Amino acid sequence: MTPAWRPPAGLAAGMVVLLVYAALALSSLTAAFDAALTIDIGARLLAPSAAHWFGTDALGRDVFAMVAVGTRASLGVALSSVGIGLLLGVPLGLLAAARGGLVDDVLARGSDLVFAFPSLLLAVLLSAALGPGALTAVIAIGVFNVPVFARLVRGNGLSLMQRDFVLSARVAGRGTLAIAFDHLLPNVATLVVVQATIQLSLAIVAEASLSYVGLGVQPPAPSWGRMLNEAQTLASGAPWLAWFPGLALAFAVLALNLVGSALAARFAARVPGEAS
Amino acid sequence: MTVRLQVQDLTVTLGARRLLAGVSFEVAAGDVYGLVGESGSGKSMTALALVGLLPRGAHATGSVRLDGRELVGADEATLGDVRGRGIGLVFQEPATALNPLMTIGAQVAEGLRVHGATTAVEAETAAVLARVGLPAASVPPTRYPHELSGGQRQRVAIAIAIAARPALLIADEPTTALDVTTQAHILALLRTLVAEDGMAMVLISHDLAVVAETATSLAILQRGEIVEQGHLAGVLSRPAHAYTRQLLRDYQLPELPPRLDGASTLLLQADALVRDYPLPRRRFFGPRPVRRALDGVSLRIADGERVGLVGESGSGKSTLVRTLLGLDVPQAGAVLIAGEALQSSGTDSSRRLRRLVQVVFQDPYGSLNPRHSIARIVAEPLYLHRERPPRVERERRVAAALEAVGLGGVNGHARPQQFSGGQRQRIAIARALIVEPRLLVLDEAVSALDASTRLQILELLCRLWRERGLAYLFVSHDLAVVRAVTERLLVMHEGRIVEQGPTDRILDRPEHPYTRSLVAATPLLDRALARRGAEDESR
Repeated sequence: MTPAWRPPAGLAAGMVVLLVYAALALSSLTAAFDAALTIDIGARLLAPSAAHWFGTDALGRDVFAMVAVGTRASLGVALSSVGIGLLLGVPLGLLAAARGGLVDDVLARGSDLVFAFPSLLLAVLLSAALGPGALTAVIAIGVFNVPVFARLVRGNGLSLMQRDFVLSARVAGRGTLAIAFDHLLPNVATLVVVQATIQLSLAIVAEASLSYVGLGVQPPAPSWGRMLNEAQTLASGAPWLAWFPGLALAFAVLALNLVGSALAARFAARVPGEAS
Repeated sequence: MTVRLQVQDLTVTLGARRLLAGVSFEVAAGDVYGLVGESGSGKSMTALALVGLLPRGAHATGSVRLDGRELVGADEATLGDVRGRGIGLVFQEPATALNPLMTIGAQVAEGLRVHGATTAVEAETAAVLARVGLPAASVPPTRYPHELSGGQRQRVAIAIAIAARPALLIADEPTTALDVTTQAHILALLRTLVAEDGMAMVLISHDLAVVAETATSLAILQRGEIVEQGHLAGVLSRPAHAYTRQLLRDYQLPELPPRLDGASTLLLQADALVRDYPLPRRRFFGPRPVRRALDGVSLRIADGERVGLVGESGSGKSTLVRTLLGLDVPQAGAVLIAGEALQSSGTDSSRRLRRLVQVVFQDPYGSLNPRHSIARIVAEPLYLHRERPPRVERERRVAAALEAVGLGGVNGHARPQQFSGGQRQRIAIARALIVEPRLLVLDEAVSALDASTRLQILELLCRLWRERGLAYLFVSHDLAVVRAVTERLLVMHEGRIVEQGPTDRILDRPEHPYTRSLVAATPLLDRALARRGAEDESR
């Protein structure tokens, strides 16, 4: 009845770009990259060439290698922080929808509180307590992902709670947890996946911002955000220092958004009239 | 009488598919033409083709003439003019047809202004609303749609449709979403308006009785083709086509086998149930008003007894069902199953009692989780056993339950989306049966089904009753169905049971005024045909 689904160009392109990033992150673990990252003042600020594809920075490090290693930091922080959001936010949202009452109220007020609180401020506070670093970035970004998923799941879960299959499950003696995880979760999973890709792209930008202001990954480990910061003072003489981490950031966000909107379209097409 | 709408050989194709094939009919001024068919027969497609609002890619040929003006192939400007001025449309769901952010007066006035009215629009708006039974004294035009009842909203939709005095009024299932007494009023209103304005009206319905009460002629559609058409009484009293005969046969509901006498034990008992729902506060510090959904409801159902429960939306039926199922807790009163009070869920006693009472809901599309396999859906109530049976035993019982509802041998891994509405309702019944309940609550369980499917499900329920001696609580707004399958009837109105007794006695000689109005308002095919036959003879 429904025609066979063909992956749209956006999804394919986005996935290819993401695979390139994954390959880059993995290959940056090899020894060749360590060599490229050693300081070599003699080779400082070289323009892009066959030997240094992306040029070198003020300390003579290979910018390509730095971007590749920075991929690891970016994706690592983004995946962990979105993971926190998923692991805490989804169950919270499910419980709030299935049980209501106090759980729901606490969730609603807690979400308001988190949303009202600037993420940068939280990162500053956390780095004062824990010291700046990747972990600080993960927690700061993760905390803001929790209510995003919790609200998404709660809102859709509440409308599912009105459906007759949930009433049938209650007549069948299923408890709150069973309804939340057996009945609500499978029906919101697709929305959660789509939201997760969008949150990943936001988290990558957030990680870059925190690193840019020095609250993220610490030197000497390279990261896109700090590379952009360091490039700022040298932008007129060595613009490639800003180009490549900037492009890496832009392509990562673009790819995730392409994948996200393609998945959203895909899921919308598969369940026509399901809500009616 | 002058012919206002003339449809000749109307054919609609979408790619290689023919959605409508050679549809021809005429409607004279002041006449109502009924289009009857099951879902997917092309009724609504005909309406869309008449107004030139076909789905993308669809193509119409043939001829549609409204007051002599050809509409098929007409340019968009002509069509726009005709749609606004020449044709009024009324749809099934008044809640979505109206703009929730505009007052009803503004919505009617908007239509008037679009059609050139510039002066005295307000007075005219009030006059149109008064014509559809919403006089400004009782329902001011400054009201918003959400402040009105479903029937009043449908009256507003009708006011918008007739404001510009169209030549043709198309009503697509205009009363399907309404209660029977409201339905009777709306149908009477439509008949009056058509006669007064000399409009031609096309009435689309799946309900033969509604058409028989309202139309003068009709066409029976099946798979995009008219299989039979003509004068109403002629077609329905002497049907020529096999499909028409089948439609009429589907209206003849099965006769119930009489109940075997003998003392049977009390299965379910509800005593003086009271349930209030809090409403939003009117004033900030004011007291919170409540709506009393159940006002001292008591009932008893014995083992093997088939009890009907009728009442309109808002009468408290749904709250009563939820309370009996233990989904809702009453503020006062008690529900006893087999003599024991239903405890909070999770206890052994509650699991045992819940196994005795299971439920089938109205909408087979909403009552099955679209992400679960049907085997998992049917097996779900087995959680009501303290120790869920082992897998092999579960599979055996799922297969047996599906077999019992006539779905033996279906693939248990399939999802509900792969089944038709009737099959899904059978799956829902199988789910209810798997714990071998003694009472099945059927909450409008056949209301969403086509007539032929409804008949099959009713026959299934009769068979299950014969084989297992189940008790039924049959909640419905359809008095014909209730008469066919129940022996005792409860009539609910405003949170109370206002009348109860043997079904035949109540439906033949209703005593309470509300029951009387309900019985009088219900469209019945036989009664409508008798009346139309008498009208024809006196003509």
